[in-house]
Amino acid sequence: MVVRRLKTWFLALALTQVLVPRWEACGADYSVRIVLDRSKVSVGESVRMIVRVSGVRGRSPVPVVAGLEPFEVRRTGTSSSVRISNGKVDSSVEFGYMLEPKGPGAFRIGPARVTLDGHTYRSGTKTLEVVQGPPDSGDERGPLFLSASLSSAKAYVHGQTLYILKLYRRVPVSDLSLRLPESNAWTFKQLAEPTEYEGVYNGKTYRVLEVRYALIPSSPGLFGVRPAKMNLMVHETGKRPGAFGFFDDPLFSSPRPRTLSSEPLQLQVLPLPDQGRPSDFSGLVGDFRIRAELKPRRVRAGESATLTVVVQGRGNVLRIPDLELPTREGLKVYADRPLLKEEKDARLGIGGSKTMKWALVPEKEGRILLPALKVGFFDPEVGAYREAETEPLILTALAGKAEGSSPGAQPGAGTTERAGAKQAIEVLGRDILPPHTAVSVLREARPLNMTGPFAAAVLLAPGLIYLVASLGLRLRARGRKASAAVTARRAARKAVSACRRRNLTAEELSGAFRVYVNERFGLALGALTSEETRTILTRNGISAETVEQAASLVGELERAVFTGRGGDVCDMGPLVVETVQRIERDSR
Amino acid sequence: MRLSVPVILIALLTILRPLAGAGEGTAEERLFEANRAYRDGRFQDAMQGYESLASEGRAGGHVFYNLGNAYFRLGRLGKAILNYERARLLIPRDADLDFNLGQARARVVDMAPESGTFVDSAFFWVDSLSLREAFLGFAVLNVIFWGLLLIRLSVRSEWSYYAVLLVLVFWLLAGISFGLKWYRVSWDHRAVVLEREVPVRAGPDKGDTVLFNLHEGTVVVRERNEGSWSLISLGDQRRGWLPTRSVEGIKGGY
Repeated sequence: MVVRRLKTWFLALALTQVLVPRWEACGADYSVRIVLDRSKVSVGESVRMIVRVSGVRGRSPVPVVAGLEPFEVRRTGTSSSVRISNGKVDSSVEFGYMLEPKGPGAFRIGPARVTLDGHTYRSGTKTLEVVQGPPDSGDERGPLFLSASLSSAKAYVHGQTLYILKLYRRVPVSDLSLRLPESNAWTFKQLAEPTEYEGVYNGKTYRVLEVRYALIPSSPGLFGVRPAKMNLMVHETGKRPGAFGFFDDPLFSSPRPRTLSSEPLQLQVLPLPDQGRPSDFSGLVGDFRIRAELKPRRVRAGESATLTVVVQGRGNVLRIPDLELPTREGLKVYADRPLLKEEKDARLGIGGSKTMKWALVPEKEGRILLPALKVGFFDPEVGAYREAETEPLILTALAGKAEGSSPGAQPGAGTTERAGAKQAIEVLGRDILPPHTAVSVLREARPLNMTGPFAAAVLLAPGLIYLVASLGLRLRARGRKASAAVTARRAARKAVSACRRRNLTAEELSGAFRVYVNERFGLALGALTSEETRTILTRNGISAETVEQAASLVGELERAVFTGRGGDVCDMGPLVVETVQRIERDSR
Repeated sequence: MRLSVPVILIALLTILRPLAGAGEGTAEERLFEANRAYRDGRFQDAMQGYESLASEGRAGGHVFYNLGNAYFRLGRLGKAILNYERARLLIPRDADLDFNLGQARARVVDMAPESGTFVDSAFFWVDSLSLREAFLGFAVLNVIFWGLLLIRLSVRSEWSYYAVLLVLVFWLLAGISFGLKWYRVSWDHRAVVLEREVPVRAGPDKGDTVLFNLHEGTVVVRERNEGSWSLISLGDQRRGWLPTRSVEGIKGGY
């Protein structure tokens, strides 16, 4: 038995040794390897490099790779993997890089070194051949290139020239970023959003992405404009044997970073000439116009007219000066804040307008000449200074008071207008209406004193009167009711007292009850029948049982009287007393 | 010689009557003089004449209107609007006043912020009533309402029931309108900027930050005073401090 159990244990141990991976061996089997996805590449293209460290699980030190100096290096990420095959565990960590060669040549990459558990592990080396790519300019420039141009290679200081960048492509791209050739000698201003269209270059059709900038020089000289750089991801397609171009979609392609350069350019910046420069020149360069408008041209003295001057054109509108209106005697001038509006046009460059307004208030009647306003600027097209000038304007101030209509304005006095034609009423002036001169203004109502007794009396008196009247009526009703109750009690007492005497006849009892009913209910009946008794008591809210008892009592007494027994002594006295008491009880 | 009591009374009345008449005549003469000064273009004299009438409490709405006109002619836009607003409380539907106030407001530099509450919209007619008119309207309806109730104490007919209901509705509307008007007039904290331009600061001190500038004729709400400074606000949440002398309250005029 024991021997069989030991055999089973040994068998299980042997199976465990065979099937279970030997983890302890993993840590000792390290290796480092460099993998390049291609061995030959052109300048401007990039190559993917992976450094694989095998035998480690989880985290690994970053390898140090020799021979990367001739490249622009970008890390693309790290991944780790574990595989179990035939009971053996293979684990590795991969470090990804994108290498972009700076120039042509044959370069040796590696070895990559990783230090693990105190030992340094090295990879082998790889050789990468870099050849010159398609030219940056010229007729043959490949399926993807960047082109730059200037609308004019000459520009004046503070003037502008258009810097046009075009991306020609016949492959899908994404993640574009642009580095402009910035300099202290100029500034760029983007004129519009990029536009995309179909274009032909050297007989081949491209998708062209175009973006335009205004290049504004700030200092004179001859400058080289360095190439603009564009980083993008190229989706390499067409290399898979896919049917119908399905795998040409960027979704199924492998993006590869790439940097494009435009061609270098030259720009000559000319200084603004001293000759002919206006004394108040503000640095305005471009082509500008000026216009002035006065509204209304005729006002009454003391009222205001508005002078609007607009300087508009193409150029550095930020340097349009704030014009000053010369002072005039008898004219008050209130300047408004100028309104500057900059406009960007992809074809014409930067332009805009500056609007200046003044409120003019003539102090007295007369004609006031508003002199021409000038603005000086340098016109790069002409290469000389020019001045834009408004027309002189005349503001006519009328007398302050309203004037009668002129004879010429009489209806039908020489007018050539069609009979019956109407025209809008022209507002010639603005003024206030005259004062009220009647003495009655002194007898007008004074402001109301709401805290005075009069106001309080007017507001409260009606309500108080109502309350008093209502209270009085209630009291009177209550008094009447109380009086009736006293009478009723007295009548009942009297009836009960009368009927309690002994030896009363039926006639006497009938009379006592009739007197009670008369007094109790304010009646004056000479005789009382059982029907009348029923009616009277029912009308006064006496219960049906009591009513029947009273009617029966009256009926019995009637019969006794009318059958000749009215003079006999009757024993119904207690019944009369009980009936009266029940009536009183029901009446409460 | 003995003088009888009737003789003495007649003598006293004979002496005192011209004096009493002189007081009334003086006010009329001053009004006449102020009107003539205005007509002749002596607006300063006209202003002083109207001011004296107003300061004596003899001013109805049209005296304030005339005073506003005189200030307008003198180029004192703030004072003109101030007196027009005072007149508007007394003669709110006067067409001349509306026109002149509109002319004056058109010359104010600052754009007036829009203001208005639900109550303003619901009781839109309150602004076109003076306090006296609102009071009289409510007083009449008050008498009718309580009178009908009084009648119903003795005549409990159907027509009196519906009449009470109908009058109750108008009585409530008139009561609320009158209350609203009274509140607005009694707690009217509006003031008018009198200086050509005045900086509004973050605090009651000349060293405090200038928040914005106000110009002559702008109507503000004065919330409180601290020393020689007033805290004012506009309808659009803007508020700040300015010297008290720069503004004058509309309600202070009567």
